[in-house]
Amino acid sequence: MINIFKKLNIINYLEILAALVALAGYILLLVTNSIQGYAIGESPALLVTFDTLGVIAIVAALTLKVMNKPNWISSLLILVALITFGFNFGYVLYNRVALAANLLTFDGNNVLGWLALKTSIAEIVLFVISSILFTVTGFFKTELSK
Amino acid sequence: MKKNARKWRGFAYAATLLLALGISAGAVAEQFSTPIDQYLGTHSSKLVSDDSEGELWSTYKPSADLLKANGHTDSEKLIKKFIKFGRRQAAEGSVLLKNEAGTLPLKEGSKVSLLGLRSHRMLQGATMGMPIEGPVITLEDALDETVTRTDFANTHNVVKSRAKDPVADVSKLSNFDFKDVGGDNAKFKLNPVTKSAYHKAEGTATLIGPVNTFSDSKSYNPNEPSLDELVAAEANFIDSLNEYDDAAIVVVGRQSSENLDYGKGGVAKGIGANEPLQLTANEKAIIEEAKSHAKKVIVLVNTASQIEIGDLKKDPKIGAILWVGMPGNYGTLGIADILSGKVSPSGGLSDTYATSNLSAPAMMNMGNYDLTNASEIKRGTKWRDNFFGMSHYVIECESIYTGYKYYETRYEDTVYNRFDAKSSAGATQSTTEWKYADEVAYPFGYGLTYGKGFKQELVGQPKISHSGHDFTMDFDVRVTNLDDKISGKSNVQLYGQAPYKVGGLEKASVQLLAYDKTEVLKPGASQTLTIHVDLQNLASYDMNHDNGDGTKGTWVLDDGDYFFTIGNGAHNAINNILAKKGFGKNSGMDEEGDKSKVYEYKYDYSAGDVDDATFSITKNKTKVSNHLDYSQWNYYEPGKVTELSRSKWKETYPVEYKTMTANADMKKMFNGEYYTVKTNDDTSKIVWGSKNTNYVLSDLKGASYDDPRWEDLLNQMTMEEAMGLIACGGNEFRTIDSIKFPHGLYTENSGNGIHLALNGSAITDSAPWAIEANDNNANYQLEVFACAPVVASSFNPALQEELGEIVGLQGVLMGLPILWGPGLNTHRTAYNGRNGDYYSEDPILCGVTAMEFSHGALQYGLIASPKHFAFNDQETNRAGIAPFMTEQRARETELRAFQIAVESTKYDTETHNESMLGIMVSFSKIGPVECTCSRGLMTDILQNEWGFHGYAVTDISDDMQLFSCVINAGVGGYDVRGAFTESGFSKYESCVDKVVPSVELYAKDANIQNQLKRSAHNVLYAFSQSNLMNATNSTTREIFQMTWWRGLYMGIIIVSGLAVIGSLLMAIRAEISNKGKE
Repeated sequence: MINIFKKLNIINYLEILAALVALAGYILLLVTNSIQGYAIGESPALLVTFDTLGVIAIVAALTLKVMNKPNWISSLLILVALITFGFNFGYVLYNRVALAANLLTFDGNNVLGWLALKTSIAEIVLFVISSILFTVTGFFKTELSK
Repeated sequence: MKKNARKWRGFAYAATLLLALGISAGAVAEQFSTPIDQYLGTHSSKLVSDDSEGELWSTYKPSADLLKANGHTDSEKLIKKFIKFGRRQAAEGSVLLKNEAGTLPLKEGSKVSLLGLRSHRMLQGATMGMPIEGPVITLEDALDETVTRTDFANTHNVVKSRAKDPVADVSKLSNFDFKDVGGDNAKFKLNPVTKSAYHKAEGTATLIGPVNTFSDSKSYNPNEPSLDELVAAEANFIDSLNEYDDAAIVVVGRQSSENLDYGKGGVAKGIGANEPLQLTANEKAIIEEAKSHAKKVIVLVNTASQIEIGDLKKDPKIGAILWVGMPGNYGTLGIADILSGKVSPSGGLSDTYATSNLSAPAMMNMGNYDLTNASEIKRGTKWRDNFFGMSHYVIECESIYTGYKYYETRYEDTVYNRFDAKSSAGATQSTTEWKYADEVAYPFGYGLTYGKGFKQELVGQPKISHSGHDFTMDFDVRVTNLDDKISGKSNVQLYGQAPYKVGGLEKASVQLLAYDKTEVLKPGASQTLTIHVDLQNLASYDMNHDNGDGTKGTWVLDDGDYFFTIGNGAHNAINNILAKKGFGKNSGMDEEGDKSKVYEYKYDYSAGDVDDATFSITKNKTKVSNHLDYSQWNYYEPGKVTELSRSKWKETYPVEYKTMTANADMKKMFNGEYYTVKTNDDTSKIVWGSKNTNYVLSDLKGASYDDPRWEDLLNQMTMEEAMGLIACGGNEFRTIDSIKFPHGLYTENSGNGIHLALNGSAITDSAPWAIEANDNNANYQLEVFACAPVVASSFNPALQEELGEIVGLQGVLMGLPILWGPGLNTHRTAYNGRNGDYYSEDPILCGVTAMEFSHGALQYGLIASPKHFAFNDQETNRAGIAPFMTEQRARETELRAFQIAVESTKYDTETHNESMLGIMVSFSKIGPVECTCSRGLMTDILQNEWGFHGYAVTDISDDMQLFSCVINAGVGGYDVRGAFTESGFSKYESCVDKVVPSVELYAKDANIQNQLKRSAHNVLYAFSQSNLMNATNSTTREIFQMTWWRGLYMGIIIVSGLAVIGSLLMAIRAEISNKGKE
């Protein structure tokens, strides 16, 4: 294990950070989706499935790196994750705009509604940050040192 | 992976991310294209028509004096018109409550100190519901002699809009010399130090609300700066008061906002007030400071909520009190006209100003109440269940005794010394006795003028007409200006009293019946007004009356002595009546009445003690009977609730009903179990999708409701189209191909202007008189007029109609056929945070004002839709709250206001039956039944009794899980603002069984199918009478328009898509190349 840490460069740490941020976004997704009456959209399960795939793809990508598997596989998996996070962005936005409009106009005292909105925003922001971090790392050497 | 490949991998990541975000953003943007267009001023579609015969745009259009030489509307002339009207509105609506020793008016050049946070940040409009928008003329600018024109570019004085942020746009707006919009301002020398001090101490105070509290909250604070803070801001604050000491004008204000209420005891600790509408320690301190420095002290009451000003009334050092409401963007000029004496005040209070608002019996039950068995109320829904809390209630057991009807009725009974009226029950100023003079500061309708005032007298005998189901009286009232210098207007209020029989129907001692206003009368001049009274407005609703046909309940007039009088407010009126009955100050009255102003009418009904015939049939020729039995708690649990009765003031004075439990029958209603979809009706004779005729909606432009072509047109529609018309009933409507009804944005808020900017219309782009796209004032916001109580307090029907015309003109320019407004709920309590949206505590004043507004708007083809029908009596828990009351209260308070407006009898002619064409249904219930689902309310009363044919829409997204019930009740559309979708009914559920509506679901339900047709007929009829007919003919179609934001996201998708492919290919190539090298 210690050997693995010795092989990590700054970019690898950025990748790990990106993965942790995505994981935090995923947890918030589950939270916001489970607030009673505020499951996201008509197909909340579809969204969760997509984002689960994204998170699994990231975990798999990082694991494959550690296992010294071909780097293009990890890159493709991260690409998949970026697509799922982009879908998450649109899906959540699409389904929370009306809630935001309500809260900012006539429903400002809706505590649960605000919780749902805030956790949704936080979740989107975390996934976007994760995506940006992965994108930045994509320009640099991400293979572990020999 | 080598450097070259990594570079392309990075690009691939970036492009993929951009592509995913672009596609997502595009999908979201298309779903919400309407609000995006509104925000950005873009148009995603437009209506185009072939107009070879020149039939379009001519029925409704701006008058020629508003057009430029090129035929387009001159925005500067338009805005001038708005400013002038706003100025007149405030000048006529402001109410002078006190004016000792000629305190007002002030002379030009007077040295004046403006004091109070609200003198610098006057509340010129409400926050939500009926807000104002855009730049305002501040009170300081309206008074200061150094200011001669508007300053619309000053972003400090701009109200931010929800639809579009005007702060970025005001620099382009035109400005206007005050001389061109009604004349100079007040030309006072204003104290610059106090202005500076308040500017520095204003904090986050804005020109609008919010109320900033909820009924349970203990946090309200008007945030008035302390004297120490003001001195800290400007060290010579106190000294400057001595320099500018001709007068001190102190402004005290309280906000108004949708969604929030003031709460009983709901104030922050340490502000020196126990209630939110009491003056705080800081407010009192600044008034004391004014008293100790200025020769004259004037208090402006800047609110739609009844601030408790009893102490100010009694204070001899306060020379004048002027109620100004919330005067709109330009009303400050009207206030300046009054303060400077250019205009003599002529308004009357639209609400009673009690010494303590807690003295109103309605205050005993106001706020947050939840059923003890709330957990058993489980109405399932996919759509915003959390907003629509289903188990809240409020018991409105004050019967008909709301506002002045309580205070004046109890007063009469104290004069008679009967019914325990003098008992301490409900008294707030004494622990032993209830006394009117202690409990009421200023009565409903009260208002002063400058100078010697006006003499009002009844001339001769009224002209009485009683035939069939009509019973009216016309009173001639001569008004004479008694002053020898001052010209002015005078409002005439005519009140009535029906005979009260002990143990009989509850009756108020006095009731406003009608009102009017003179022209400007020069000194010594007279004018005779004919005041038309419909006795329907004095009739009582006897819900226990046996109609002899198995039904109960009708309107009745008791045999006996009726009194009619003119008066300066309700209290003056009852005193006149008491004088006629032989009472005087020596027999307990607090002032003498004038019996010469009273007409006594002995009604001897030939067929018995009670006339139960005259008003048993409505103007729409429908028999009246109870339709809201379930509105009272005692219907489900007899004897549980005690209703206030004037015969037992002490015994029946309301208690608070805090722990109510719904029984099994009631729970069914709370749970929405109102309708079961039928599965075996014969529906074969109901025609849908007929090809036998080929009408388009514009063929029925202006057609009567009974025109036989409607049946053919409705038969052309498919059932799905009819369902869609209702499912998407605003602010967007779907295309209906079969009748060429074009998709569009056809509804908006509100009552004090339209919630749009001048560039907000895609419909009127091609009109010859359209505002030009490059107009400097294209971003001008249209909600600029005074709050509703100021409209009412003018007591001027012509002015109220003119407001409707001006908003109607806005509708024509914007291509907007339907307005969600004005607000028409009555003021049940002073603590309703939304009182600024509603006219008054009195249903007659509310109803007539709304009728006048609607008639005015209709002159420009704008369909007014008063809201909220009905019983939206508080904002706390408004979404789904269950107000319980007797049907008598329901009929005689709020429904009476709506009835007057809907029937619009004043404008009927032999060939034209005027009627309200729109209405918005309340979020609330009536009893345990949703108003939207109450067939009694929506069909039996509204449509059958009152003759309503038009657009009846739910409030935003209300009761989407009760589609079948809503259709069954007779509602004509869902307001789905923000949730508009072309894709179907996924957000709707049929009923509590959660079945999604579909053609198949209703295939064997004849009732629903017929109701769908009736609703479609109603909605399309409203459109056929509207300014939409200006823009459509048989060739009209909607065409798509590219917008810059659409181009932006499409460009991002295309470029990033290509970049993904390219960078992936390059990455692969680089990787292969690298492998080759290795």
